[in-house]
Amino acid sequence: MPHEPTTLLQGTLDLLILKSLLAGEMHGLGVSRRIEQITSGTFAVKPGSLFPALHRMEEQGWISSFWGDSENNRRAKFYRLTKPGRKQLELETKRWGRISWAIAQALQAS
Amino acid sequence: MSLLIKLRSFLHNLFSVRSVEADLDHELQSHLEMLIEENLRSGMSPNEARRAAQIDLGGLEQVKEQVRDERLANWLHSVISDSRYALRQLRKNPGFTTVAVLTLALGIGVNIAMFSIADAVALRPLDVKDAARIIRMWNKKVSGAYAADPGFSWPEFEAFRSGSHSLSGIVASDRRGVLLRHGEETRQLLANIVSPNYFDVLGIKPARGRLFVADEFPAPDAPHPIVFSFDFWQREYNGDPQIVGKTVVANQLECMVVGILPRTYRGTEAFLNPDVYVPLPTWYAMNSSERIHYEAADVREFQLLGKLQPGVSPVQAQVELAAIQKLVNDQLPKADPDRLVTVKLDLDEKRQSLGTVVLLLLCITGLVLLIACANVVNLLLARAEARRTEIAMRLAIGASRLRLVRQLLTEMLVLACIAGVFAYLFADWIIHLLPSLMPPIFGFNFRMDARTAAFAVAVSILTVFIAGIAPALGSMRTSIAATAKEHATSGRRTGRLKNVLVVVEVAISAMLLIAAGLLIRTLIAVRSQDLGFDQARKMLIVTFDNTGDSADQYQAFLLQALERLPAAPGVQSVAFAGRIPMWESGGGAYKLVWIPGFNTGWGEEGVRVNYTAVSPGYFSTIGTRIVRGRPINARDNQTSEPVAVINEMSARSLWPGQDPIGQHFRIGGSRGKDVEVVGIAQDGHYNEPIEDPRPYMFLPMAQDPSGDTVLLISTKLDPRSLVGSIRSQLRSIDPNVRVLATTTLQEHMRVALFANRILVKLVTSVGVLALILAAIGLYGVISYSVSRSTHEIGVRMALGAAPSDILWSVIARGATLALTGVVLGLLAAVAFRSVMASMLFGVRPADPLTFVLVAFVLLSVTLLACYVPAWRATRVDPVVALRYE
Repeated sequence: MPHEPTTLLQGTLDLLILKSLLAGEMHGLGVSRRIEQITSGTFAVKPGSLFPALHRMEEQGWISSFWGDSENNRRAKFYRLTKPGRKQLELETKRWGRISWAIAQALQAS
Repeated sequence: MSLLIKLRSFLHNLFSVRSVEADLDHELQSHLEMLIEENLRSGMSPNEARRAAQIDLGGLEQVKEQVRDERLANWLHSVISDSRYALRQLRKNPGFTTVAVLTLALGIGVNIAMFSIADAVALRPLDVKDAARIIRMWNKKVSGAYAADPGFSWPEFEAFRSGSHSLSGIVASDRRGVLLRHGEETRQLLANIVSPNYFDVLGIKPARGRLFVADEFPAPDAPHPIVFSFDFWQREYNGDPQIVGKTVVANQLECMVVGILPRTYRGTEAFLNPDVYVPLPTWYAMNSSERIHYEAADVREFQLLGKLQPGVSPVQAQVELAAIQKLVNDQLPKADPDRLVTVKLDLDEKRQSLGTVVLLLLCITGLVLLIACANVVNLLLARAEARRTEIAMRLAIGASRLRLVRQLLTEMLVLACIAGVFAYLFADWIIHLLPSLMPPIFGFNFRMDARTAAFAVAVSILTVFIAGIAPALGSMRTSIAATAKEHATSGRRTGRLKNVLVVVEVAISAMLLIAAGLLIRTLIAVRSQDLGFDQARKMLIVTFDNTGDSADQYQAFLLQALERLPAAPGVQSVAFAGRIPMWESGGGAYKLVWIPGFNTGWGEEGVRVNYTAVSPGYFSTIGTRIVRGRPINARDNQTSEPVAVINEMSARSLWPGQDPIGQHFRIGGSRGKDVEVVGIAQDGHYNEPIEDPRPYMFLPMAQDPSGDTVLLISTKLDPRSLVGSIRSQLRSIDPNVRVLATTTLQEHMRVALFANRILVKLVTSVGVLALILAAIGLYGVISYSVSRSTHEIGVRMALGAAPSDILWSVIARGATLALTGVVLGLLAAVAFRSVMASMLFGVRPADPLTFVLVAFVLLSVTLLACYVPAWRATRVDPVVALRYE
């Protein structure tokens, strides 16, 4: 599995986390697995990037956290999307659309 | 909203570190365990599952550190932990810490104090409401030339007040003397005579009681209000609150003290803090002729202050006021049409007039701070070398160099904070000492306030960067490899920097001491110059009040006193004068002198010549030489021909190439009184200790009776011992005469030379401070180099060098540095001599005596600073020194 350099992931990671939390509240490992799933295994997010991102986004107010029970009855910290988070997701999605379109244009030009 | 969330997270992270950390710990633990479970489910053995999960997580502590880096309060935490570390380091080196803190405290403190002084003298706006909109007004001639009397007439003030739209308020004031009787005592006070709207417009609230009501005419039976300044209230009434509402007698009029001004309000003039404020209606009630005087169109004695409407510029106000002024002066027959009102913001005016002196003083103390910084840099460099092992170690275990620089700067910051606190206390002490060093009349409001505190913080931070950046960058160059090869070439570069710094320190203190030396020589020259009278004479100066005497009674009193007082024990000679040289009453009194056929440029009016009325015996009493002709004597009375004694300058300028004795002139224009010149007195200084020769004349008191008179008594005894007998003698001659104040010529001259003395004191103490700091710096560098070369000294002693050889070699090292510094300092003083020239008198800026003395003092002190470490070097025991390696 190709490991993407973090520099490229910087903006993308936030987008991916927000997108995966759109499906519902989940804990860190859940987010990580969900990202793997929705990107068909292109991105494997390591805890070293995941947790700092989660904590930063929580401080930004995009997501909120609470302690709950996991599917195996284990105490785990869950994250859920907040209203500003949803707005941010919309914003990021639009931005990403523009960027990917622009990059695609640039690559097609000879 | 999002800002609020961020703020909450920030505070949460900051103050509940424990719970935040525990939370993170739990989260990562549960993550790990869930990973293990996943692995177990995929069929791994428990050991394998744990190992794989741990690899996947990639180090619990690293992840935590990465999360912490993302947190908002992170930087603050690291600053706090850096500061804690710094405090520990400082506590471990009490010697270094003490010297560094003291040095910085002195350097920063003297700057804070000087800033506070500068702020009070020239930078801070007046302590009134909307100070930034306060304007000053004065009159020029229409041509733009300075007018001899820049004040305003009452009609002008009235017209401005009713006609101006650019000003939201305008006040008139004049300063006069007032005799205040309270119980048995009578005192002469400085009064500010003000328009009743004065405090209203300036927006001043009383500390006690009330201020004036802006009501033109108070009810006829209402008490006449006056207001005391805070200082006067404290000084004379010990701040007794009971005084408000009490009646006092001012100029024979019963007045009521209605209020006390706040402590912060010390008048609008830097050099004058009036004791008492008298509204014009009260002043007119004291003497009704004053109203006629002040309200005449040709009496221009009011000083005007105004407050601009918001958004109006001084230029706009000036245009409007000039139009109003022209209108009113064209209507009044006695008004002078050749006058043009000039408007300037008070703050601009103040900064322009006093800015340069203040800037110079701030530069001087800035130099002292540089010296202090240089000392601390040297200390830090010395310590950085001692800490090279520690720093290399921290680099080796992976600290980033930037992090290390931050750590060192934090250490410096902590040092500066501690020093800043001491500096503030030091400055506070100086500022509280200041008022006792200057006459109470001064209006300066020295204080430590938010502005001073802000300056203190700014200077402390600046100090951190000046003193901290070089050692910090130096330590960044530390290479791990080089530290392994200890004692290789490491010390050489910082050693050179240290030497340069010490040389600069010595040079700066040399410059400051030369400035101090030149100012001291100036003071000596001013004191020993011929002022046109004998300033060394033992003399009692008495001011008195004779209210109640008619003009004839008063003349009779003067004659009797001149006759009877010389017979009193200890008295040598006695005289009266309207004023004596350097007297506090400005000395602006003049007569218009008109000489037939002399083109004065003033037309029929004549030229203005300053004068004083004197009694017989004046010249011999005060010691003024009569160059030609005769002095004024007892035969010059009301009935005899009017005469005058003029000074040499008047003789030269009014009768060039002729013998003035026997010449006639008229006083008060072409139709004035005819006066004959009977004598020429030597030129003198009349208003300032340093002034150019100016025309002056002396008129017989009997022929020019004036209100204010000063009694001079020369004696061989201590002048103060005569006070009692003189007081009772005067009373027995005329019971209406009350002595107001007594002083001696010596004290009078001290006050006159006050400005020169305070400058000398300031510059000298700063210079001595610089010298002490430079000596400490040199001491530090030499001690350090001795301790570094213990080994070398041990070897030399083992090879048979005598202790005196060691002593001299160490002293020579220090002497080379000191001598270089002194020579550079002297050269710089020569280069900058034009800066000093304007403040000097009777001494050249490159005065050899001052230079030699300063060089001698500096070399002695610096050599003494080297002697101690040199002597310590001779005590090195070769056996111990060699084993030390």
